[in-house]
Amino acid sequence: MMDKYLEDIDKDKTLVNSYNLEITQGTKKMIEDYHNKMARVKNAEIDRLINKYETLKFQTKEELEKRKAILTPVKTKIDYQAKDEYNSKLCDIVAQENPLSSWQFRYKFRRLLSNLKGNSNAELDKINECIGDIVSVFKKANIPLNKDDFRYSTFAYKYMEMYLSANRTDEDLKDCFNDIYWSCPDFIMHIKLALLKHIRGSEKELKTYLPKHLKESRNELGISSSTNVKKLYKTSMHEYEETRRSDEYKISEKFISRELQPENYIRESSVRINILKKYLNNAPIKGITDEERAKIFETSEEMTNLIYELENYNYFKPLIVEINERLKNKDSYKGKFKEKMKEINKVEKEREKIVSKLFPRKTLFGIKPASTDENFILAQNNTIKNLNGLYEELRIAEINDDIVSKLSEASTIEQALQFCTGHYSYFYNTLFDLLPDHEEITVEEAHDRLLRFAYCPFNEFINKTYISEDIVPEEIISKRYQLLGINISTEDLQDNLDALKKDVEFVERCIDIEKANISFEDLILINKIDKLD
Amino acid sequence: MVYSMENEIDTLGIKKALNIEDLTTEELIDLYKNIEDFLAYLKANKEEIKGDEES
Repeated sequence: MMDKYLEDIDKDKTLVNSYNLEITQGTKKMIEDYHNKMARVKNAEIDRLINKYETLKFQTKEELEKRKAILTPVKTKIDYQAKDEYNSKLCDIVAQENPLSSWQFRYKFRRLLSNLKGNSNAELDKINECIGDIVSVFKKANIPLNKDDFRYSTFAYKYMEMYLSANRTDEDLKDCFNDIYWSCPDFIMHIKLALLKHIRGSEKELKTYLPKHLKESRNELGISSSTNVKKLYKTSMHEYEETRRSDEYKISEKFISRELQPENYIRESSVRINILKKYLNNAPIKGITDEERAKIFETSEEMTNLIYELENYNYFKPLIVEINERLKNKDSYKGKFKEKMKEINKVEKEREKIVSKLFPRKTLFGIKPASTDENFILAQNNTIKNLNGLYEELRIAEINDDIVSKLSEASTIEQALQFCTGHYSYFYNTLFDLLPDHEEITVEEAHDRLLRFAYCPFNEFINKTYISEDIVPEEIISKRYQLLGINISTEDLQDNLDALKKDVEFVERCIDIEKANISFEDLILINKIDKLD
Repeated sequence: MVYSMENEIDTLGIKKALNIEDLTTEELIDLYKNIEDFLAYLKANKEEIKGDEES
């Protein structure tokens, strides 16, 4: 059948070539006229053929597109983003319920407070949202905050009075922000300290409400209080991976988009054989047997997890060094927190005394108007600035005490990292700067990565290694695989991790394709169709 | 216009009507490439009209 089409093309080609445009006899004019006449006839024939073959081309392409649609695996309706968000929320709950996390982390107070630093309109929405979230927790815990709770400074009061008023608009709040900002650019910090003071002052009540708060998080996901959420998280993560890896469309996607070449993945492909061979001790010169292939395939999933673990372990290693340093100096922390708290209380009283003069107050002789003395405003601002520094020192003393009470040399790396993720202000103020790429990412991104890693249910060595142990995980992993007959050197894991990661991804894709029973021939055809103009 | 080989029978002298649906996908891809090449050939073989056409 195909030959018939090709024969037609040949015939048409012969037809086009059969036109004789030249004559040798006659005048120049006659020769030219003859040429033009025949050229017009030939061109008319060519136009007819172009029209015919353009139509055939269009029809062929249309038929090919139809075939492609049949060959292409059906796009699944799985909402991976929703599944990922669900897992993320489960991970949050596991972290919130972990005793290694601070009680303030469970309310996300520190994360919210860390956003109260803005001094531009662009961040105002975020600032207002964070204030709202904290105020709402207090309300739920039956400790409602009102404008008088923000008499921390005249500026904090003025803003929060507007913020908490029932009929204000966002525009009112923005105007209020601009109005205050030019008098006191630090006023958001005043609000932050006021909130921090209330959080510390209401610790008992907030801790009492905590079980209800945690229950609410579970309720949002429809998880009963008797469910082992850690186990659920592991199952859900496992299911996610299973779904993703058995999704024919997802597996084929990169081949269809021509990002990957299907030819490299067929069993006979030299690319595939060479990658698989790398993993075999005493690699065979010829191909790979089914047994050898099965051995590599068996270890690949574990290997993927180990590479993820190793990569993150190296990334977050400076945090372990930090924790170990703090543990070494544990004897020097005794009494520091109380000492700092005493100092703060003293300065807080001074602040109260100054600020009270800036508000109208009752006296024996009636209401005394607020002082307009600029010196009081200056004293108020300077005292609060001083307090901000003192609270920072208090936070460090508090974190040191927490480290000593919750961690020891016998804690595992995983526990230490869970501690780090569960103390947001520690992460925000100290740990983040220790990360190698901290200038390129946000604190939230780094914290989320740590959270996922520290609670990854597939971790193998960080949950079995003590923080005080001096280990080279690459050596341990390499030795283990040598025993299993798989060739992965310490150097591969140390210096060529990215290349190894790519190879392991390749192996995983081979497994997925074989399991899903996807036809390479089909993928190759899809690819060929796509390459056509 | 939908191409039909039936319309071409007289011009081409083909006895049997052809149907591209009967071709395998590989053959279709091959045919497509051949058509493309032939179209390029046709376009390159159009003749120029010499001198002043009006005279």
